[in-house]
Amino acid sequence: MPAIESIGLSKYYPRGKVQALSDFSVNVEKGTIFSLLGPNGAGKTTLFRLLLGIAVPTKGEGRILGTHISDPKARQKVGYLSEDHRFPGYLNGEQFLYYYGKMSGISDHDLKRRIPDLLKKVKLDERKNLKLRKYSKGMLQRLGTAQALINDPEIIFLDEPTDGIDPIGRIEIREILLDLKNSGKTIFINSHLLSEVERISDDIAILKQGVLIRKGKTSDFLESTGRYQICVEKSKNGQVSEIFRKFSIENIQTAGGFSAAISCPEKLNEIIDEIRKERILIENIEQLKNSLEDYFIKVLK
Amino acid sequence: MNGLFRLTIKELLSKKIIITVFILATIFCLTLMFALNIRIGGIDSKVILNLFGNQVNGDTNMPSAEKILGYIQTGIAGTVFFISLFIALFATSGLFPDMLKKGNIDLILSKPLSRDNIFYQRFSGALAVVAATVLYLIAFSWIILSVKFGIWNFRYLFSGLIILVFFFNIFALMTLIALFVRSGVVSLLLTYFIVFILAPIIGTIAQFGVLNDSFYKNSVSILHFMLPKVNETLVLLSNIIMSQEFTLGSIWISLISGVIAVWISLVIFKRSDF
Repeated sequence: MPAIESIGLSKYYPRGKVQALSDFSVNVEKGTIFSLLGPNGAGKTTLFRLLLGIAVPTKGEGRILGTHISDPKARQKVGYLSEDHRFPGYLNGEQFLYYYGKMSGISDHDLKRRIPDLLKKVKLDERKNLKLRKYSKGMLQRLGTAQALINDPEIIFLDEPTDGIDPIGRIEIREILLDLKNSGKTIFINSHLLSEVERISDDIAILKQGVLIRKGKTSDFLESTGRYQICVEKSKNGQVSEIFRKFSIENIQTAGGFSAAISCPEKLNEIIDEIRKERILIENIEQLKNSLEDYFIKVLK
Repeated sequence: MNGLFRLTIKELLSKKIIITVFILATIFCLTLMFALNIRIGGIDSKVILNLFGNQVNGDTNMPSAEKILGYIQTGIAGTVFFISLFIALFATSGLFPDMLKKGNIDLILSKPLSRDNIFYQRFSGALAVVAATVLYLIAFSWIILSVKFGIWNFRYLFSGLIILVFFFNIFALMTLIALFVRSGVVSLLLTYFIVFILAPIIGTIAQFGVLNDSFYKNSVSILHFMLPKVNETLVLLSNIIMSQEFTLGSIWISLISGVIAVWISLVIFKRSDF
């Protein structure tokens, strides 16, 4: 049984004039990180809202852990961090986790144990008594992440989880997400930060104007460019240029070394042998791949 | 699963206006307790009222102790009625619009709660706070006045329930409006407009029968029947406390109107996308 099933989910506003999401079908397997990509207005947040019962689908159906999305029980094992969260400023961090934990049906006994752990995990344990109106955006985002984990969910929906968080905070959130994945949780992410998505996602779906245009494993999106970056000791660059000429390899010399169009690993090995025969020190060899950003821009164009 | 009910109470208490009413109510009751002195004596059981040591009433044509107590209790009940109409309604006006704001409602709906449950927890949280405030003031002042006068007027306690039913009616109406306009201030103003301007106008038209067309006549009659009636409720409060003849018709109508408004609000809330 997949963690999340979407079968032809569609949403039209208002009275069918605007297509927010059209016939979206996808299965998200348990224990994976699935990322939704797309420009603004692509339908990513709409999909989240349909799956979480925040909006009602015009067509199609969805299931979470086998339970139909119209049934509140489907959200029993779900955690959610929304994009534009508006947390009550009159509560402090600890109270916020308590009240929203109660809404998830968690007992006082469990909350007493989980709240300090979660506050520590998101590094807000020393600010637990501060009113939320005094929290920075990054702190609210981290608290929102803790809130999404308060019921020890099986599936976590995160809408722009690293939005407003500094680079160190992002690394911390990424580590939390990878930990969760390793403990068997399913994570469904909607993010604009393609580099973050590329690092952590198992599967990716790309939406454009409400329509699913690509889905697959993250590695499928990171295509090889057919080029290698070869870096040698700088004083021997002339000799290496000669070797490329001898093999009729098109190459460009960059700050990071030679970017050479090498068709296959066999050819690469022949070139390496030749370079080593000349006793030239190879400092680094890297296969050049398209980044997710390159792929994303290409697909959307 | 009652987290939203408790959060609603916490939210109202954080606004301080309810706490202020509690404090003022306590000060008022303590003033009654310590400053009001009543002496009943003489052949005709004459009542002498002293406030801070000064005699309040003259010696001639004094009404009976029951009547004086009734006047005081009617005055307090009327004040509590207007507190519920103005301060409590003002304090609760933002509850639904705030909950419906993007980023807040998303999070609440993502919890394993049905929409009925969310609506009822929010609504009953507000009612619970107002009920606690009204009943506190009525019950506290009832005990003090009863001890001072030596007369235990249980009808005064009943007036607290009447005030709560009326508040339920107008709060339900405000909630219904709030689901359309999604603004606390606008829903409050529209509710006041309906209660203080529209309802009296409709009442006057219905009373004097100025309409000839049967469709308009019937529409006005139905509206007059359904809309909250401030005047009639105040008269009812007074009649109950003063042990005069009364009918509970207007309060039953308030209750039914409130239930209908809650039901329509719930249908709208359940069908809305957020």
